[in-house]
Amino acid sequence: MKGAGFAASWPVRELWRRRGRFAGVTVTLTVLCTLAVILVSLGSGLWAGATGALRSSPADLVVFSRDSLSLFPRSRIALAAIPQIGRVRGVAAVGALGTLTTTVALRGATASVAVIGAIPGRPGAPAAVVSGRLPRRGEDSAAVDVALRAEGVRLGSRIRQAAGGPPLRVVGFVADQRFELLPTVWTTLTAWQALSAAARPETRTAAPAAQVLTIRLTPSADAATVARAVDAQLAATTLTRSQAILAIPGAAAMRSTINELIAAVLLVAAGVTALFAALYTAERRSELARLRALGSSAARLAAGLLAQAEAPVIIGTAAAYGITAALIAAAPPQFPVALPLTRALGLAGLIMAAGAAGTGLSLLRVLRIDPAITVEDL
Amino acid sequence: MSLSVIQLRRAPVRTALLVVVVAALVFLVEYLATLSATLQAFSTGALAHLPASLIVYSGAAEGSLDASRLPPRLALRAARVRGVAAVAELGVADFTVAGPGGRYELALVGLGSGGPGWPPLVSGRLPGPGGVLVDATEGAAGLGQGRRVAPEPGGIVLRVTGVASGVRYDGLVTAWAAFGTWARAVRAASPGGAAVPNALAVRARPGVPLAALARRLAAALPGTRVLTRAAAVADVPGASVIAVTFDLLITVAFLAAVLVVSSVFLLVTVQRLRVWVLLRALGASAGRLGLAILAQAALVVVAGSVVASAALVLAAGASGATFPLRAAPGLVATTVLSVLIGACVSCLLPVRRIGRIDPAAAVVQP
Repeated sequence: MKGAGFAASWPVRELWRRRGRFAGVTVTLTVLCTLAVILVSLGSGLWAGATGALRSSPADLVVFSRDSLSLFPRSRIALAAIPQIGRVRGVAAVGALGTLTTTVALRGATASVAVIGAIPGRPGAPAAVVSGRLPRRGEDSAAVDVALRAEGVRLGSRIRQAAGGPPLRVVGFVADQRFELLPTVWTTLTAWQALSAAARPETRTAAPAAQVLTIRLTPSADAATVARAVDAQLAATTLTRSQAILAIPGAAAMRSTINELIAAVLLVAAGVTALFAALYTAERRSELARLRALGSSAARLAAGLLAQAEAPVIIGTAAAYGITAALIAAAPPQFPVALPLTRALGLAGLIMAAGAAGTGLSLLRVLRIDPAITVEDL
Repeated sequence: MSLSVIQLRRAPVRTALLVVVVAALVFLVEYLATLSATLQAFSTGALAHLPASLIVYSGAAEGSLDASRLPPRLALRAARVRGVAAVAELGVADFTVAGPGGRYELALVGLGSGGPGWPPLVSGRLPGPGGVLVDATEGAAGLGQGRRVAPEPGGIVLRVTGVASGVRYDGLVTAWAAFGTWARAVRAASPGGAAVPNALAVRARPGVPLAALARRLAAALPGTRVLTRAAAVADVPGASVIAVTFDLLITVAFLAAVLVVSSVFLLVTVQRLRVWVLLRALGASAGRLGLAILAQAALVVVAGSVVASAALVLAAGASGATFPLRAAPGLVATTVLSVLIGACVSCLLPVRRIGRIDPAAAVVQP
């Protein structure tokens, strides 16, 4: 029992006895962890802001015009194609979407928003609202992002595009539906066409058009087969929803760059822990050897060393989350940062693993200490 | 110096690990700074290099060239405002272009004649009808001088007549054309639409205060917003957010680099306390030993920086044709110097520790 008590208390006593030194290590690791957590928050916020509207869409396939590079603002598809695509085998329903980044006037202020037009009841529009309802056919109405509540928008409010076009009456609120990092205003395709014509006169078309068609598949349909059939009929580029998300400008590149930076920070954290653990082991080598000679098992000493290495990592991680949470709270609402719990926990796990990996070499040195040699040396 | 080198060589694994960690952190700082500078230059270059004093946007655009649309012939009204030397219509539209590495998005900027003028040429000549001026970074994307480019949709063909520096817009590969050529490309892409200017570029007469001219223009052109070129550059959507975000990341990475060096050398100093006491007892001055610590830190930072800068050059070389990164020597030198100074300053803590050593302690406790 005594041995077990010593095993538990030895790392804590060591941490306390050398608290000044551990404080320096902890501060260094806190800064590194803060860098990693900020990167994760930024990555999550940018990803959600760029792809939210499409990620929560009930559409299985998205049809872009061929020369659009699968970019919403560059794509144009005539609405006359909808019945034709509806007849393709495997297609359950066809809708259409149009997007427009614009400025709207709100109670004495203006806000940048992404207006998205959809055909009511067809795939493309959000599946659910957090309050109110979605716009209905023939209405100049909108379901808007909950972020606009902070600007004083309520159910029944009217929002007007600064460049003209029909005013939209707010009939509902949606969440997690951002597009191009902007809060979304979901309206009917007809209202979107009128707003686009006012804000972007060069996009006016003689025949009614949308930017993309959205397709919901029948349960047994093969997405690739349907996509090929649609491409053949319309000379278009049909992507699955996940492919369309990755085609959003900068989204995939941004995500991979941030992930690479996070990986680099984790590697540095592992390297720093390794350095500190190596320095500690080298300094305490004779003391650890004496403890081995006095009966402490190698595993117990290794566990103690791991605990001393992980303690600054744990404190650093907790402090980093605190600092990042404070920064997020201080950031303006439109700033693209988010800290979802799953990613936060995942990163915390990776930081701990990096810390443990960094201690590996020093643990081996502790495990190799031979008590017999130690006694000879005493 | 020899003491510093000897001590570093006596612990080769530890020194190598420290160099690797410092290299990784310096690389992070250099890479983030390069990425930030490139994003800023590619987002705002077109406006920053436009030789205009003022930019006129539609009031609804909130400073976004993309979102702004002005009525046709507004330039004629602007030209009549007192204090205006020249006005040109400015248009921007995105197209698809096929290049050697595949299809990519091209921003076509249209600039009216008789206005403030074109961005300074690096080579070639200014574009006439059917010609375009491209950025110097765009050779890899197939836009070298004399090359033909066919923006899609529309089917028109343009020819590169000249090259300018730092004139990208919105982070995209960018070509500048005469406003008439631009309008023809826009109408060809969208036959039912209207090719209206996005903004006006205004040059003020010499000696005319810009604030006063901006007020006169805003009064003469209702529904517009007039910004100085510097304000227009600062107002480019996302530019300030990018700058703030990257500055934060760079600061944290820089702090981490400095703290790692400081913490490690503090631990090493404490670990070698007996050696320092002995050296002091043998007559070495505290200043000399302190310099040895600083020299060690400097050697580690320099070695790490060499590795980091080489890695940055490799990363820049591997960057894509449409978003080419460049390892700017000035930026690399500034980063390395900052980390070096930061590390040396932070190592004053272990140096101070050595300064407090009493040489007599070696005699009392051998």
